[in-house]
Amino acid sequence: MNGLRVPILTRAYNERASSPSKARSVRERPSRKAAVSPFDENVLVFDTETTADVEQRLLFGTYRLYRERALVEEGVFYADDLTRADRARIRRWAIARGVACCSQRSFYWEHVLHIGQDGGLLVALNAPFDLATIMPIARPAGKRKQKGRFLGGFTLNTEWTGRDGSPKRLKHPLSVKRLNAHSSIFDIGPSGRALDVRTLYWALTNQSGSLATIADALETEHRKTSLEAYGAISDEALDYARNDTLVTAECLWKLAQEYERHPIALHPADAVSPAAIAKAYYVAMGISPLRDRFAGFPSDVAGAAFSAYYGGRVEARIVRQPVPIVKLDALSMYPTIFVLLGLWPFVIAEAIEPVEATEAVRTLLDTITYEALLDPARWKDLCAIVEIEPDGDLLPVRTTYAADCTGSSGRAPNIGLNQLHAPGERLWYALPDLVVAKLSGKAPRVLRAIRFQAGAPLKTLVEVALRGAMPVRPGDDMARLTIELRKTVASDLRLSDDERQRLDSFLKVLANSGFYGIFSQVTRDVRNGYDATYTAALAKWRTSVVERAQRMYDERMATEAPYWDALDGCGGEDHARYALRCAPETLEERGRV
Amino acid sequence: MGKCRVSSRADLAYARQHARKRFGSAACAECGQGDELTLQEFEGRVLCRRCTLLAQGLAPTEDDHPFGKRNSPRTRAMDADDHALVTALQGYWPRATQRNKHGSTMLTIAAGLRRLGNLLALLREHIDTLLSEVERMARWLERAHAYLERKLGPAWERDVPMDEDP
Repeated sequence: MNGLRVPILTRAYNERASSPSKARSVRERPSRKAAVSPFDENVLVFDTETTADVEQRLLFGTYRLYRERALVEEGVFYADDLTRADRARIRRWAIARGVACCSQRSFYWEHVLHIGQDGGLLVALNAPFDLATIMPIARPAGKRKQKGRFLGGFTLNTEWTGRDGSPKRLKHPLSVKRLNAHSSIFDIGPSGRALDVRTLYWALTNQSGSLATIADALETEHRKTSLEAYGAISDEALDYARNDTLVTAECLWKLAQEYERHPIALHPADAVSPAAIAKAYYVAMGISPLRDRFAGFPSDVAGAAFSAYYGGRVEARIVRQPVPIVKLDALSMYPTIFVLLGLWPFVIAEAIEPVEATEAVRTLLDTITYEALLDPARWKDLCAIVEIEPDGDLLPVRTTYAADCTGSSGRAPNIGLNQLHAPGERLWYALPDLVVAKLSGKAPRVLRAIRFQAGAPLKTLVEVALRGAMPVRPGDDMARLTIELRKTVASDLRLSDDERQRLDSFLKVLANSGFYGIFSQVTRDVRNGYDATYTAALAKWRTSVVERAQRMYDERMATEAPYWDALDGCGGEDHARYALRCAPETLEERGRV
Repeated sequence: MGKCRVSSRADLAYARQHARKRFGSAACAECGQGDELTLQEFEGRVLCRRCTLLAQGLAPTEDDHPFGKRNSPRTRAMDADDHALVTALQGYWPRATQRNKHGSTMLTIAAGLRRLGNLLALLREHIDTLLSEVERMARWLERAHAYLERKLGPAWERDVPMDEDP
C-alpha cells in the first residue's frame, strides 16, 4: 500500500471532577440586586500617551469620570518620572483648559482604586495596553490568582517609596490576560470591572476596529484627530489626547445604547465575544448549558461524539492547475446547516437519548445519492455518529502534516481530507462525513451507529425579544427564526436605513455565533496548571520575546544613549516583555508598522 | 482605602458608589429620598437619616461641625440628610486636615475652604437638576401659550379674570 504513515489525533471527552452546578459561571446568573445598569455607576474613561520608543513609557494620560452618564470630572495625569518642567507644562495646560490635574500615582489612588474597590467601570480602548502603561511592573500571573484563571496573563503593579525609604508595591495588583486578538479578561478589584471599548464593539458587531474606524461606524459627535509628532509633550499632544478620551467615551455611550436593547443579564465587561451574547440570550430564554442538563448522558457516547468532531475546514481538491470556477455563496452557512439537520430541539430538550441505529445507517449509506440530498427532509436522517473501520475511505484526518510526518516537528495539527487506511482500528465519524466518503468512492464499513432522540422541551423556556424588538417564543426554532428575520428586516419599509442595518448586523452576528461554535467550545481548566509541553512552549516563547525585545532595545540605546544600561537592573525586562506583548496591536493601530 | 483629594464632585461620585454597596438602588421607605449617602437601616427598614430621627421621635436636625470636630468646636444645626452628605464628603478630606493634630490655623482655614467646596458641589447638583427642570417648564409654558392662542385667539389673556383667586 502506498501512502504516508501518520499518527491520528482525535478529540476526547473528559469527565468533570466537580459537579455541573458549580461549573456554571456565576456571571451568567441574573443579578438578584435591584437592577442598576453598570453604565449608570461610576464610569472612568481614560487613555494614555507614551514615548515613541520600544519601551513605550507613560508620558501622560487623560480621563473623564461619569456618574449616571453625566460628566463629573475631566482631567489629565502626568507620569511620575517626568521632569519638573514637563509636569509644570502639563499643569499649565490643565489650568488653561479648566480640567483637573494629578500625578500617575494619584490617578491610581484617587480614581482607579475607587472603581476597583467600590464598583464601576474602568474603560479604555485597547485596555490591556493602557493598564500596563499606568501600572508598568508586569509579572506572569500565578496559579493562585483566581484559581489559575489568569495563568498565561500578567499581574500589573506600581511601585513607590514608603515613608521609611523602602520600595512599596500594591498587595493586590491588577491582572490582565489576553484571550485572543479581540478580548481580554481583567481583575481590577473586588467590585469594579474593566471594559475594553474595542471588545464590546466586536461582541456587538463581529467586527474589529481602531478608535477612528469605530467612531466613524458609530457616527459619534467627535472623531479622532491626528498628531504631527507622537511621543512628546506639547499642548497639541495634550489636546489630541483629550480628544481621544472624549471620542472613546462617545463610542462607549453609543455602544451602551445598543447593548441595553438586549434583554440579557450579562455584564457588558463579560461580553467578550459575539458568542458570549448568544449564550446570554440562551440563559435569558431559560436554556441551561447542555453539560448541566445531561449529567446522566453515557460518557462513552459523549466520547464518541467528541472524537467524531472535525470542525469546519477549507480545502482545494484540484491544485496547481487552472480550472474554471463558479462563485457559490451560502446564506448563513452554519445556521442553515443547523436548521436543515433539525438541531434546535436538542438545544431545548430536557434530555437526549442515544438510540442504536446501525442497520438503518448502513442502509442509508448504501442507498444515498446526490439527488436524495437535495430533499431537505432527508437531512434530518443525517443526525448520527458512526463507528467505522477505515479502508481507503475519503475521510477527514487530523494529524500533523509536517515534512517528516512523525508529529515531532512541533507544528499544530491540521485536518485534511484523505483516503484513510486504518486496518484493525475503529474510528467515529459524523454521518455527513461518511456520506461524502460514499459519494466520493465507496460506503465505509459501518460497525456501529447511534442516532439521537430529543426529549420534551425544557419547562423553563420563556419568551425573549431579540434586541428588544423581535420576539422568540418557547415553541419557535430560534435558528430558523433568526435566518428568516434577516429576510424580513431587509424588506421592512417601516424601519429607517440605520435601524435596518443595525438589526441585520445583530441577526447576522447572532446567527453565526449562536448555532455552531458555542456547542463545541472547549475551555481549558487551568486549575491544575498547564501540562509540561505547553509550559515548555510558553517558556520558549517568553525567552524569544525577551531576547528580541532586549536586542531591539540595545540597538536603539547603542545609537541614542550609549551609556544607558541601568534599565537592566530596574525591571526593564518586565517592561520590554509586556510592552512587546501589547505593542503589535498598538503600533498597528497607530500606523507605525 | 485611598481617599479622594481631587475634587468634591469626584468625591461625591465615589462616596455614593461606596454607599451604594450597602443598599443598591434602594430609597427611603418613608420619604423616597434616594441619595445613597443619607440611607441607613432602622428596625429592618431602609430610611434616610432624617426619617430615622423622626421615627425615634427626635427633631430631624443634627449639629454640624463646619470645620470638622478636631478643627473647631463651632456647630450649627443642619438638616439630618444634608449633614449626612457633608459628613460623608468630610471623610474624603486629606487626613492631616481632618485630624489637625497640632491645631494649625492654616489647616483650619483649609478645612473651611474644603467645606465650602463641598457645599458648592452639592449646590451645583441642585442647580443642574433645577436647570433642566426650569428649561423644561419654560418650554411647556411656551407650548401651552401657543395652544391657547390657537384655540382662543391672540388676546385670550385679556379674558383671564386676574382679580379672582383660583
